[in-house]
Amino acid sequence: MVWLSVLLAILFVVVAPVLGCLITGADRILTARMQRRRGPSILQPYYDVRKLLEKDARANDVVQVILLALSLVMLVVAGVCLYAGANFLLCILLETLSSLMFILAASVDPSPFVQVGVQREILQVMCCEPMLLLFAVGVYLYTGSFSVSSLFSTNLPMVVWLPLIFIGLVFVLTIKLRKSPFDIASSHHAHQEIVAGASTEMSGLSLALIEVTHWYELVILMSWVGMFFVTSNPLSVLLAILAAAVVFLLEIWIDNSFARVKWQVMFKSSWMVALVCGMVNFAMFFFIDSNGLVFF
Amino acid sequence: MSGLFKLGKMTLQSLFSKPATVAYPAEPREYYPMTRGQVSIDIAACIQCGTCERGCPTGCLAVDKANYTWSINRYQCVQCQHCVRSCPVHCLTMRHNYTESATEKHVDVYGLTPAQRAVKDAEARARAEKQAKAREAALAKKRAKAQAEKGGAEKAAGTGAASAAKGGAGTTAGSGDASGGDEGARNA
Amino acid sequence: MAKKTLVPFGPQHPVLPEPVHLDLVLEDETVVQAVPQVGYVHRGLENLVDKRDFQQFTYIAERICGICSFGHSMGYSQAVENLMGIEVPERAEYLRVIFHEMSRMHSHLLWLGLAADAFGFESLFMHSWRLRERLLDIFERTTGGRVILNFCIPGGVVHDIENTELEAIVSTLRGMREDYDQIAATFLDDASVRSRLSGVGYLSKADARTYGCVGPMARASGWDVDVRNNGLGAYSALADFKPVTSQDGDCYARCQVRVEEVRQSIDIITELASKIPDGETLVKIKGNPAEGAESLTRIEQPRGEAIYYIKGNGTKFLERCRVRTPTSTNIPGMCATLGGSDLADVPNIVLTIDPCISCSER
Repeated sequence: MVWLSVLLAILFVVVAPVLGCLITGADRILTARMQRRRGPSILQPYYDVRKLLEKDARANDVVQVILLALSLVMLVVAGVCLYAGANFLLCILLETLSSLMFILAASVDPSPFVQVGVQREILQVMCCEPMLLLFAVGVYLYTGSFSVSSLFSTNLPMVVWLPLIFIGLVFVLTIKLRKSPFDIASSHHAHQEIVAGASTEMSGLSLALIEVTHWYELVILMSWVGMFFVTSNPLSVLLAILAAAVVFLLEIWIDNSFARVKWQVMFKSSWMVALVCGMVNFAMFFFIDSNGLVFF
Repeated sequence: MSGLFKLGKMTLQSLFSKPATVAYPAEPREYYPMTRGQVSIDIAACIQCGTCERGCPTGCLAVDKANYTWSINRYQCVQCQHCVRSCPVHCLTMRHNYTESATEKHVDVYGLTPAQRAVKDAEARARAEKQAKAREAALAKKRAKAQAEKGGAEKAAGTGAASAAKGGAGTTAGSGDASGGDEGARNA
Repeated sequence: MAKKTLVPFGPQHPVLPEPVHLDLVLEDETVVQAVPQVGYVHRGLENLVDKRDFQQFTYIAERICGICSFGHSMGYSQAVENLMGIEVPERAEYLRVIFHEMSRMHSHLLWLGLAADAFGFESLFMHSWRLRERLLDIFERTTGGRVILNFCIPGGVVHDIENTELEAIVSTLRGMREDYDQIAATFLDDASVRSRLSGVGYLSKADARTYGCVGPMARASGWDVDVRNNGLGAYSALADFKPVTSQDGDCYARCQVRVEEVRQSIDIITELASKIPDGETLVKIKGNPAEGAESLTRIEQPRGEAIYYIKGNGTKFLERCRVRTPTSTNIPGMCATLGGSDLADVPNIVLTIDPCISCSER
């Protein structure tokens, strides 16, 4: 099945940005509609990136651009890992590394707003990591391997046995997607106390790289949601896509119904959710006999 | 849990409602009849008194009495309607659509057609003639009065009042038309 | 040993409604000191009394600020009427108060939107301003302008508003209630909003008095200072007026006070619209202010007590016009509450005084 893996990997690299762009555009239109506004055209993110690339390079730091490009490359490799059915732990690790590359790139700027934003970004990574690691452990407990392709040989979707891990993932997705109530570090709305956070001083090529990285990230995160719904049945892929769409709509609704909370609340709640969801769900496993169970 | 999603209902309802915004200028804006958009003038009715020009808080109006024109710098106008309210002949009105955008600032000048100017010039000449005639009549009247008083004073026995009247009459006869007109008005 | 950073907050900052500069000294994310700088929108409007006569100056007074516009025209007109001993017809007094209360409503709704934006709740911001549009439509329908009304001039009001129009206004305001209740419930009961507003920026009643705070800032700390208590103008016709106060003294309490004041304004307008007498609405002013005559008026702007002092010199130009706006008095209180707060609380605290920097700098 190597050819299938290669094909999927190439498809991911080529199609994911297009899909990410369209989903981001749809996100903006839906958010606008929830606020009784019209919203821009669905291709607006593409127009934005095109405009950013056409800007004069006046203040771009070479180190910053290289680090941002590395961030993008690592994320693409993470997605390739995922779609080629490779090691899931590697995918999560690369995704985290990509975030760290962004943090390093942003810390190049001396502006106080950027520095505070960088601190908050680090905090965000620390809040997401526990849940993501528990997610990977859950995959291992369910299928017996860290490999994504092993999910396609199960009979039941993973969400049946790991519902709390799923809820925890959706909770953490709010942080990763930078949606209220957890859009504390940097978001597309520059109204915060730290203006645009880590990306305040970036423009032109730097900002374009960040945009494209976010497109890839969107597809990868939605794929993680979809992982809970795939089985050996090929139709389950449709179910996975539907589930990802529903979760995305839910995230947009949550974004428009909550204020932004402070970092202390985000930290406490994300660790609490990770702890509770992980412990309770794994406890369920240790007392029930089932197919992919390793410990008994 | 009851403190969550308080705005959730309004958010979901809005998703399925028509947007509250107007896609201006593609969609035309509906103005109210009273909207203060821009000042317009019926130049034929304007009497060039200059009340609007003096009262304007931004100084955007200019009235040229000699050429019968009225001009406005719409980019300085703040639509306060002071000119509309203070015009004595009510030739100014407030239209309800805003001034259109332009790429350069300019001053709008409103003037009369040559035919209208001819009419106005004729009216001005007629007014001037009437005033001149009135002044002459008043002056003649005063001279006649002065003569009568002179005659009366000679008859009376040289009192202070008679010499004062003579002196007053003397100055009146000596000074020009303008003061004679004023004196005539006061005495009449 | 925490590192100290200096964050230059403003004058250009997306969360600020008007330009003000705050030098925030931070240790990690805690504000240790806040040093304000104002002066970015000083236009020298008070100096224009030399070049615009006292009747033209009404238009300038109106344009000191866009949000408190009607209040300024009303305060200035009242000051001129006191100066020259002019008695304004009763119907005009009622109309002025009705429009002033509507101005208070639109100002508070604008503030609610900005406060929502400050704690990151953009959709609540949009919905609050959407409600405010209905008030602006009323303004445009009745006076011709959405923000600058040109309605109140020395001597009364420019034109009459028919009683049928007043009834239409009252029914529009009543129709707003349902949507407004939902928005108010979000501000006061939503858990994420509470987590951002409760306990933030606490100012005790004693401190409020020391710093000379006015308006909702003072009333939220339990001090019921309100110029409308004095019953000037048509406020004396109200059956019962009690200022809205709260005892908590934090950002949540100030939000609560403003939310309630909108409802109180709707009630005031409804009451006055039913009691309004018929009659004239404008008296003509003859002559100029006497030399050496002075007058002082106070009104309750949406942000607090505003004082208008004018002095005549016998000509049609005034000698001096001085406006003391509520934001000028509230800024020291704001800087006091900023000490010891989180960086995340800074926008909330800055907005909690409802800063109208254009008013305070003129």
